Amino acid sequence: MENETEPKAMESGKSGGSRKIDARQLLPAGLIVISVIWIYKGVTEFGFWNPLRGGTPAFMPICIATVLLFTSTIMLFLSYKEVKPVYTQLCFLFLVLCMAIVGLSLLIGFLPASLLFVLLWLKLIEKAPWKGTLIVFSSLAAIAYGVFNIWLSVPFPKGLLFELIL
Amino acid sequence: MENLGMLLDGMATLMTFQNISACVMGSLLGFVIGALPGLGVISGVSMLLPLAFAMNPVTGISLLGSLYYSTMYGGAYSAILLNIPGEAAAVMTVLDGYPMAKNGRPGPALFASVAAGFIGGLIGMMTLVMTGPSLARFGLRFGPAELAALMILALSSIGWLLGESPVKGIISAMLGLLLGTMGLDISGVPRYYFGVVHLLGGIPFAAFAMGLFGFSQVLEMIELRNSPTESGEIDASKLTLKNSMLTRSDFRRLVPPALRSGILGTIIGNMPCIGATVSAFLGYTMQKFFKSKQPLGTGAIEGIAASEAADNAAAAAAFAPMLALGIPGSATTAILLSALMVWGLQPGPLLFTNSPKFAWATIASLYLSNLITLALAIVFIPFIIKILRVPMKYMIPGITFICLIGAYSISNSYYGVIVMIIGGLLGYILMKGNYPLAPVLLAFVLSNLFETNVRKALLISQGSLDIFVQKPISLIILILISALILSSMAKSAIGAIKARRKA
Repeated sequence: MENETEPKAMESGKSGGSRKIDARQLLPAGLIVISVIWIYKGVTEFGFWNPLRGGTPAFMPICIATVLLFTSTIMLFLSYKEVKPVYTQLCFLFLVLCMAIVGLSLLIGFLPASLLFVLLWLKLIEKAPWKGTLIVFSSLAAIAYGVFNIWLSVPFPKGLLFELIL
Repeated sequence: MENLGMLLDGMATLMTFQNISACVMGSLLGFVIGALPGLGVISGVSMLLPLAFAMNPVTGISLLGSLYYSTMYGGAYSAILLNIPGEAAAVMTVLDGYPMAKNGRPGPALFASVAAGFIGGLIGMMTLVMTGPSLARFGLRFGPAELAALMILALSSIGWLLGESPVKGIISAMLGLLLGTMGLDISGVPRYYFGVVHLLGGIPFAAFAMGLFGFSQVLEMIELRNSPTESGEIDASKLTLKNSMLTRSDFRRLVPPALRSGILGTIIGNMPCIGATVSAFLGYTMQKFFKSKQPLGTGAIEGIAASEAADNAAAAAAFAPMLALGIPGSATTAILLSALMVWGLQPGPLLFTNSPKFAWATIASLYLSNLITLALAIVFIPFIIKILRVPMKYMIPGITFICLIGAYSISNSYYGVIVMIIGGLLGYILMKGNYPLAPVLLAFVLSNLFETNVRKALLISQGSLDIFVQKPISLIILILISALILSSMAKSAIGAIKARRKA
């Protein structure tokens, strides 16, 4: 999220002052957790090495996770010298909207839900004029139905509502 | 010379209205399928199989072979214009193609990909004609140990793409490798699927690539949409046919890497189960050792030429083991192989003896497809670059929409869509932290191949690592890797000493 205190956080990071955990440490910390999970699951479920057959199914994943753990730990310490990343709220809203489209598609169908997203984004977020909106909307609808639905016969879900009507 | 005569006979066989129409249709469809994210060449070939079976073998293989080959051209278009690789082999084209398009030269970028692809494909086809069976037999000398060493070479070459921070680059590569280990391993043992049945098949490449590159690109556009200077919108006056043409200087820069990568792609593409992606990768990496007028990764035409020539050459060369030995060079040629068997043809050394018309007509159809797709690609360029005139506010929902339906069509389920959205979020977080994205995807593609060959080699040697040094080809490759790493370290050390002395 756009952080109003960001300049302060950036300054403290640069001067090597307070070592609070912030967005810079998110990724290295997350990767450390993933590496530990991979190593733990690999060792407990499959073991590492078979004397006769060489690597077990977890051999390569454990090797890779070990390197990732090591490098992520280094990065965790180096991250305090980095510039704090600024995330935009609209980007996360966009991702939430995409997931909402997936949910809505169960009700009204995948193509209608996706086209509805296009319409709502253009009118509510971009405040685009109706002419441009309808041109884009109809072009995308033509591609979706013409290419994917009719030519390639991709079976997009029709949604509960349409299935009840049909 | 005898082979040239046979090729001409093959061309004569091909010159019927039916066969030429099949080539044209296959080339056109393959081009569109390659350009559309989410639709892979495998799904395209599979979809046309029923139609091909209704035709005679020469017409059917002309259709399928043309489609397979022309997807390589189409994949570069979405890579250059939208930063979404339409095909796995187009991942490397993204690295220079998209920056070149953003720098206001989308037309020359597309022309460069087409021209280099044509040159590379021609080299692959000529080599196929002259040395087909011998080339295929050379490819068979690469067993699991040799292929594992080749993968190590490819992975260590990712170092060239690490960006400014080596640690971040290694993290990106390891993350890609790790994600590639999810699902069933080579012995069919399920691992790291966390109880999600869909993950047993692993993470689908196309959905992940669309998310990592395409969706994260959309998120970046959302951030930049209100910034007129950073919005990345291209001056519309540059999007004309005249400005799309390659200059003499562009051609001079393009031809040497295309020739080199064409030869490399032919050799790599000929090896069983390697495919065009690894060829494109190594072709691009090889270009790092040669001069480029501008640094690779910043929109250098040499980068586009190197990757496209290698991947088209590999696509053509994959026919060598398929036809001459009955061994598929890639997943798609495995499907083509099954089509041959349905037609009652036995691929292998006797194919050229028992069914010479079919064998040489197949090779001739590749030449024809190369020409037809070149012509189609050039014709489409002036229309396709108009996409870049579309204001960003319309591009954001447009690209999102195409990504959503493309991701769904990969597996006809929401799985692809969810993978794409998560890939997009991951790509966004990596971008914000200045972690390079290319190593993630490249390592992801190589992960399965790498592990499969390492474990096969260890199975053969009953757990002994000596196999990697006992096999001559593997040993040579490992020595080459060591030399590359040591020379790189020496160069850095000398540079640091010189800098200290100056200071």
